[in-house]
Order: sequence, then C-alpha cells, then structure tokens
Amino acid sequence: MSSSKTKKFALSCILALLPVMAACSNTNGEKQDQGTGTTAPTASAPATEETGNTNGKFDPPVTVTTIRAVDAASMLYDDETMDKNAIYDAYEKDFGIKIKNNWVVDNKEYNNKLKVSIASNDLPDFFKVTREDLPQLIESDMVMDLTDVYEKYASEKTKKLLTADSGKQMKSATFDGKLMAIPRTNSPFNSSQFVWLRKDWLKEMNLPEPKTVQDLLTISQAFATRDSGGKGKVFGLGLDKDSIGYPSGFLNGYHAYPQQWVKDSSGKLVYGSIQPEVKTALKQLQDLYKAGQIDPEAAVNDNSKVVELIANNRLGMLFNQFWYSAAMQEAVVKDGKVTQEWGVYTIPSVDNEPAMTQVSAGVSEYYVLNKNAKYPEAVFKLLNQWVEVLTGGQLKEDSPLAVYANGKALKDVGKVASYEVNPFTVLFQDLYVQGGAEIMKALQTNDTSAIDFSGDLLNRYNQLKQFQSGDTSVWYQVGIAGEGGAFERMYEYFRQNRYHYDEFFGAATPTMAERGDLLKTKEQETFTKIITGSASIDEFDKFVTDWKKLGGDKITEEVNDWYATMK
Amino acid sequence: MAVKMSSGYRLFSMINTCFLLLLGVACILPLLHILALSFSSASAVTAGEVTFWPVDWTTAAYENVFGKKEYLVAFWVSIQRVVIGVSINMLLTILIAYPLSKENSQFPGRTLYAWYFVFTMLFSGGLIPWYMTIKATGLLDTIWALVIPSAVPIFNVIVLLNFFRGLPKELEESAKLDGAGPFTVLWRIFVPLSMPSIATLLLFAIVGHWNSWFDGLILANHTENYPLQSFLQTIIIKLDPAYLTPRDAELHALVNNRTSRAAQIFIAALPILMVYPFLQRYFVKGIVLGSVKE
Amino acid sequence: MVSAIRKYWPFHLMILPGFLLVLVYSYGPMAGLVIAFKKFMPSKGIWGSPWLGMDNFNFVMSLPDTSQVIRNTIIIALMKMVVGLIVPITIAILLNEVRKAAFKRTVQTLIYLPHFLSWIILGGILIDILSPSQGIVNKLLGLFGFDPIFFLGDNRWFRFTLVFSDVWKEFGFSTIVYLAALTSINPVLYEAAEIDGANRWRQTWHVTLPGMLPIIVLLGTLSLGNVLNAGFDQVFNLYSVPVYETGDIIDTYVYRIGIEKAQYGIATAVGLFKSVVSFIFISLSYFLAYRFANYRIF
Repeated sequence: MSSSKTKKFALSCILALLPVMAACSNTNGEKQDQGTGTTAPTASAPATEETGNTNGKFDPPVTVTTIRAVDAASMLYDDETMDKNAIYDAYEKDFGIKIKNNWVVDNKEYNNKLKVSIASNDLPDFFKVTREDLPQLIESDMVMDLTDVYEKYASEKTKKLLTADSGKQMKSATFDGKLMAIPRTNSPFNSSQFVWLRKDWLKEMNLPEPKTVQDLLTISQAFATRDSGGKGKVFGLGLDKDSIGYPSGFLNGYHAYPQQWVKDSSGKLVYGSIQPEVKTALKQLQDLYKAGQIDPEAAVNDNSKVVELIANNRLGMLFNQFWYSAAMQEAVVKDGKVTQEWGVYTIPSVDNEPAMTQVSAGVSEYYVLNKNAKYPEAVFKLLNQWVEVLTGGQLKEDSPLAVYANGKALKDVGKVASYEVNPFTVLFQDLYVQGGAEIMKALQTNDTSAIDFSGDLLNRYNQLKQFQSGDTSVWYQVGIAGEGGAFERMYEYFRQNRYHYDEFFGAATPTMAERGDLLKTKEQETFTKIITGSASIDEFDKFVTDWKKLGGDKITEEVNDWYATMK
Repeated sequence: MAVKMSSGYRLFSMINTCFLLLLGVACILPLLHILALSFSSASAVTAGEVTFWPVDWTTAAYENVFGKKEYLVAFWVSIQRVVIGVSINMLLTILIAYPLSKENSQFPGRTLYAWYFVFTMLFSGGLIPWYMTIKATGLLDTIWALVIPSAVPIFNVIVLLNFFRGLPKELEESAKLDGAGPFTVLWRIFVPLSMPSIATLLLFAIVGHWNSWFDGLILANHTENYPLQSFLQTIIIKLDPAYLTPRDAELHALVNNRTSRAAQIFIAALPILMVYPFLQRYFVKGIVLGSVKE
Repeated sequence: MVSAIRKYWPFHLMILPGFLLVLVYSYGPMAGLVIAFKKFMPSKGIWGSPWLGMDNFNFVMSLPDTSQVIRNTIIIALMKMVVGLIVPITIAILLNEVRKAAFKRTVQTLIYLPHFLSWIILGGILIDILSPSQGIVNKLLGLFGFDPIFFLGDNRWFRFTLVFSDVWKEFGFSTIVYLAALTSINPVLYEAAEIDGANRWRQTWHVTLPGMLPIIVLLGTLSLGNVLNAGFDQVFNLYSVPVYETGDIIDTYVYRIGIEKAQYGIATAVGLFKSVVSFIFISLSYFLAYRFANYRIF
C-alpha cells in the first residue's frame, strides 16, 4: 500500500475527530460556539449586509425558502411535519432563520416536481438539484454565483469538510471558474462493487475463495451444479435486467471500466465501454450464459427476482454494492433464523494486476442558491450548523447541538434521520472506509472513541452488538459492517489503492446532454444482446463504430477539451 | 320465464356460462394474489411462495397500514375528491350532453361546440403550461386543483350525448306541448330515462377520480394533500437504481415491504368494489327490461 | 343572429360553464404548444424563449431508431384497437344471454377488477405467471405438450402478450358501456323479431348488433385517437432489452433516451406530432360517417 495514501487517510481521520474534541471542551455557551464558525469571515463582510445580524443571529428574523423531499417511511413525530418540527424551530430560535418550504413531496417525486418548478421559473431561495438538472439551471442563468459568498460565509470547518478529497467534488460544481453550486459531498467509495458469495456453499463444496477470475468461474460452474431441492435450477452468477447491460463488477475484473472515462497511454481520455477488455469480458459472460450458469430470464427480471432466487437456494454469487445484504434480509432470515451464510470479497482479477473497482468522483446532488436569494449568508449558516452536527458525534441530551441531530427527543430514538430533516446537508467523503477500519476494532475492545464522531457508524456498531446478542432482524449489518463485511473490503480497496476513478467529473457536455442517454441505451442493449447470445460477440465491434458515429467521437473531443482545462 | 329452448341453445348456454365463469376467474386472480400477499409473511413473499393463498398467515401488514397516519389522511383526501369531483363531472356532463344531442336544425352550432370539446381530447399543451395555468388561477395545493381542471370529462359527454339521441323523440315533443322548457325536459324526462347510462358514467367518473394519481403528485405542495393513489404511487414505484446513492439504496432495501404494499393496494381498491354492485342495480334493471320479452 | 341566440339561449346557457372551464384549463395551456418550435429556456418563459423552427421535429426524425419505434407503435396500437373493440362487444352479447341475474352481476364485477390495478403491479404479476421456467401459464401449456414460451422475452410473442394483457385489463371497462347500450334497445323490437320467427342468433344479428351500432362506431372512432398511443405504462413495465425490436414504442423510446428529462421543446414536438396524426384519423372517420351514412358520430 502506498504510504502517502495512508497518511492522507490518517489525516482525514484526525480532521474528522477534531470537532469531537472541540465539543467536549465547550459544552456550554451555545451562541458563542456556533458563532465561532461564522463570525471570523463575516467580520470582513460589507456592513450593509450585516444590519440586523448580531452575534450570529438574525434580529429581526429572516425567512429563507426551500423545497423538501420526505421519505414515505416516516421519521417525524405525529405532531410534526416537514414544515413545523423541532429542528426548524431550533434554527429560528438559535439563528433567527425561518425556513419556509415552498413544497414538500415524497422522495421519489422530488425530481419530477422540481423539473416543473424549474420550467415554470418558480424557485425557492435554495434547493437540492441533481447532476442532470444543474447545467440547465446554470445555462438559464437561474442560480447564484457562489464564488464570493462561499469564501465569505462558509465556516472553516465547512470548507475543510467539503474539500477533504483535495477539492475534486467542489471542482465538479465549478463552471467557467465560478462556483455555481455546493456539492452534496458524498463518498465515492460507496459505489464500489463487491462479490457477494454463499460462504457455506464454498466450504461445503471445498472451493477456493475468489482470488482470481478463474476461481470465480470455477465457483460459478460448481454452484450451477447444485440441487435446490425441487425449487428449480441453480445458477452460478446472478444478473438482472439492469446489471446485464452494465455488469461493471464483473468487467472490472478484466480491467474494463464501462461508462467511465479512462486515460489511455497517450494521456487522452477515452470511453471505457468501447475498449477491447470489455469484449473479452462480455465473451466470458456469454459463455456463462450459454452454459446455463446465468438465469435465461435475467434480461427480463428485476432485482426482486434475484432475491427470490437467493431465498430459494438457487443462487450463491453476484456482484453488488455494500448494502446488498439489506436487500437479502428477508430471503436469508426466516422465522428469526439465519439460513444462509454470505461472504463479501473484493473483485478478483483476470491476471496478476489486482482488479480495481470503478467509482465516480462526481457528485450526484448539488445545492444551489436562487439568483435572487436575499440572504445567502443565512443559507450558509444552515450549512455550517449542519457540519457542526455531522462532526459532532452522538450527542448528549444537554448538548446544544442535540436537537439538530436527534430532533424533538434530543436523543437517538431511531425516529429522526437528522440528515433528512436538516435543510442543507453534506456527508463525509470517506465515512464507510473509516468504518471498515474502526468498527470491528471497536467491537472487539468495546472502545468506540474512534467512531464516536459519527452517529451513522455508532448506529451500525450498536446493531452488530444487537446481532451478537441474538437479534437476527439486524443480520444484514454483519454483511455491511461486520467482520469480513463490505466496509472492511472497502477499506481493503482503499489501502491497496484499488479505486478506479472516472477521470471525467464535470457537468454533461453539450453533446453528452443531447446524445448521452441515447448512446447509453445503445450500449446496454448491445451488452445485453451479446450476453444472452442473441447477438454474436462481433456485434461489439459494430457497436464501437456506431457509438463513435452517433456522437461518441464528438463527446470524446469535448471531454478532452474539458480535461485540458483541468490540468 | 317458461321459455321453449332449443337443445342447441341450451348447449350454448352451458358453454357460455362456463366460458364467462373462467373469464371471471382469470380477472379476479391478480387481486386474489395481492390479497394473499398481504396476509403472508415477508419471507414467504420474498421467496415467491405465495400465489393465491396466504403462506404463514399474519395480519401484520394491515396493522401496519392502519397505524399509518399518512395513509388515512390520503384516504380522506381521496373521498373528498371523489364526492366533489364526481358531482361537478356529472352535472356538467349532463348539461353539455343534452344540447349537443340535438340535431343541427334544433340547435344550430351544436357541431361547432362538439368539435370544440373533442379537440381537447387530442391536443394538450403539455405539463408545464398546464401547471402554470392552474397555478395562475390559484388552485395549487387545494382540493380544487384536482377537480376543476378535469371538470368536463369529454369522453363521458360524448357517450351520453349518443345515449340521449337514442331516446324516443315523442316524449320530448309532448312535454314541450305541455309547456315544459329545455331544463324541465332534461331533468324530468331525459335524466330519469337514461339512468342505466348515467349510472355507467357515474361509475367511470368515480373510478376516474379515485384512480388518478399524477395530478395529485404535481399539484399538491404538501404530502398531506396527496390523494390515496398519489400516495400509493410513491410506495409502489421503483426507483431507478441509476439515480440512487448507495446510502439511499440501503435505506430503500430495508423498507421494501411487499406485504404492506399489497395490503395498501387492496384497501385502496375496496371502496370501488363496494360502490360497484350498488350502481349495478341500474344497468341490470335496464337489461331485464330489455330481455324479459322472450 | 340575435334572435337565434334568444331562441336557443337555454342550450347555450347549459353549455356555458363547461365551455368556460375548458377554455381556461384546456385551451389556455394549449398556447404552450409553441414550445415545440422553440428552445425552451425556463428563465425566459414560453414566449421569451428563442425560436428554432422545425429543429425539434428534425432532431427526433434523425434519431437512429425512429422509424422502428413508429412502426412498433402503430402495429401495437392497431392490434389493441381491433381486439379491444371485438372482445368487449362479444362479452357484452354473451353476458346478455345469461339469465341468472346474480351470475351476470358477479361476472360483470369480476371482469372489471383488473382495471383497478396499475401496470406496475400487474407487470410484476405477469412476469411471474408468464415465466418460461416457473410460470403457471407455461406449466399449463406443458400439460398439453407444448414447449415453454418466453412471452416477455421473445420477439415473436411480445406484441401478442402486450395486446392480450391489455385487453384482459381493460375489456371490462368497455363491456359496461355496451351493456348500457343494450339496455336502451327497445324491447318491442325483440318482440317483433320473435313474431317473425327469428331465433336467438338472428335476433342478435338483426336487433342487438344494430342497436349497439352507434356506440360501437363511437368507441371505435374515439379509439382512433390512440393510434400513436400504444400504452406507455404497460410497455414500460413489461418490456426489456431483448424485445426492444418489437416492443419499443414512441413513448418509451422518448423516455429512455432522456428527452423527457428537460428538453421540453422536443417532448412537446413529439406530443404535437401524435396529436395531429390522431386528429386526422378522427376527423376522417367523422366525415366519412357523415358523408356516407349521414350520421354524426358526435
């Protein structure tokens, strides 16, 4: 493992821990404490903007508008709503900021509703927007240039958190040198792919752990010969209608990176899906399909069918992300008993070169401010306060931050997912990698100090404890954060420098916006047809030609232009 | 009804009965399946073991649904919507269909009006202008947004005007001779005589309002104003995995509860199942009138 | 003119409320159709956005699969229209022959049930029952010695599966209209036919069908308005890559390649194109019926 990486990681751990120490040394004096984050930068702000703003609090209070999404699974108390709740009240009381929701819809409808709001030019002061919708807002000149206000109003702690990855994610929000949005920073590592594998079968059949692609193929072949006990044919490798057109985990084993922009030998960016390694890997999948090791109905079925296969002991291996055990919970735990044993492995490689897992440095969500927002300072206060909460760990009831983290109850009762109610939230960029490094250690030593900074990790720690004491309803957490679980593998990728980043992390280029989805649908169609054998492997070459002709060449050009500006 | 029936016809009757019975069964199966899911355990559902009979009987899903405030609130919004919306629909349907059922000679301009309405079945300005209009008229986020823009169900108007045409002209003529105006003729003669078709359209209007979900999602600004089907839509729709952060994917994998979903779908279909037989009286009665003369 | 209005004022008055509502909520938004010829920019609004002429239409026509999806759309829509017309008429007549009122009512209720389930739900159920390995339909076919058929994954079968399942979901709906039409047939006509010695078949042919004809023509004509609507919800929930070739329709294609995402100009252009085609078909049948049968459909 490279030592510079380790250092960087250690540093980020320390940075993350700092606020815990700060919070410990400063339990009373809530106003001053929250003030420190903002007073320094605001002191240099022009006086006109400071009127009515004393000691970090707006007096008289100001109103900022936003729009919200809620999850159908309720995290609020019966007498609370997204419009009126303890957290919103606290912002008003502590900062003199009244938050008004122009609308609140279900999570799944947020983007549809937002599109309508954008199209009818009816936007609030600040709001969350997807990567796809951001360029349109900028092109239509509807959002504020944040370059200066960010400098002025974001607290040091906020800036540190947002640029913890040396600023890549922030850069993705920069257009023509201007900061147009605040990325909802998130962990790129979370999208790593893993091999999920029936460990009990492995032992029973005396098979090797998947170190190489060859091992993986052996396992697939062996699993496919199993008897499900009358439930139907057993398959070697699980795919569904989405993953069959984008089998990124399997392809990564061949050093192929579909839908990513990769650097070629000449230093130019090229599109991963049209490289020769992809062809080799697809050919292999086609062979597996022909050999009956992949469900012949995979191209039609969605993931719930894959889970059904698992439940019926008809499938023991697949590629997916860290959370997949959560999807398998009902299939594996029956009548309170754990019926199957699953292991998580990093992607095996086809040769001596270790396989990397592809992740994107890009962010999927951004916060933007309306061009006409009156109080950008107030909006940044919301962000600064959130950063305090995020880095504040599991908060005691008497902490002034407790209400922001836990809502009305002031303590974690599993009701308020604080990052769903706070209006302006960003996330750690490497939280689960840290989890992989620390949770199991904490579990063995009963010393949680290394994960105290994050309520999320502590919650997983507690669930592992619960499982140890016999509660199988949290079985899934073992696969995620337990021993040999996904987090540890994530950390393993990290230590071994096995993350393969998308070299392109800007906003969609013009041709990408126009043709991107068309090309992607062609690609998925071709891959699916090749794997299911309805097209020969030579179809791949035709796809490459088509891709270039239908706009791919143009996009490549644009992407390389962008790349030149990033150097 | 002592009727002489040929043996051929008797055979036909038997086959017919069997055929319709099979057809009815084929149509009830999906709902039975959902009902079975809603009373089964989650692990049985996940394993695909449930077809038409519950496995590991449990009523947990229903307890879950009835404990949900959002569901009950949405149910109430839907009931309001149906009552208000259907009243407006029916009133306007009848009022428009009657003049349009006249001949050109009786009401010059009826053809122009008919095209005026039919045209809107085919052309629409699209989502954004529609939304902006509703916003501009101040209906947004109120129950009226769900009933006023769809106040005139053109399809129903066209169907009813065809039924009105089929009524005997003599009745109207004699009423007119008695000095009755068009409004009286409509309410006293046309409406009572068209009960079977009006009951049909009433059913369509109820079902239309009960089932529509898209307008609720776009026009309500707060989830507590969602009608039931909009609320259900947010539960049953699948998220495109491409737009899901892995963290959110984890949350969704954990709350993906198919049994509770099934229970909610079933309860949402219940009110219509109860209204239907009630309305059916009207058209069955009509049919008996028509076929009693053997 | 004035006297004409005075004479017919009650009729105008009856129409007035509906007329105004339609004016505001249907014709008002139609102004937005100009977006089809513009590059829509939200900050500039509908009127301020720059003109593009026919560019949006040309863009759609230049897409590689446009001709195939239009062909699929028309084939699927036409099949649905024809089968969707014949089946409910047949069922209505068959139901009419049933004497036991309770049985008739029950069947009538049952056939309407699938209409209440959305395609998201029915899609999941169909994938289950049509599965070639586990599905009940193929197990039944197996009893008769047939090889399993991959209804949802085989291009030879996919369109039939779409048509069949669509009719299964919706035929109860139109059957009810036809049943209502049957009630309005004057019983005297049947008596007369019987006196003439007509048996049930002849009665059906000479009395029942002609009695239903206006409604049949009406529903048939109105369904022409769907000649380019092959059913987005259904196809979207049932199709997959292997059957794009026969099952991909305009709406799903437009959705998949991301036009709906934000390119309102193009989306509106597609909608306008569909509307114009439907309008031509409906007008044509309206005028043909008027010309040759002297009958106004509506």
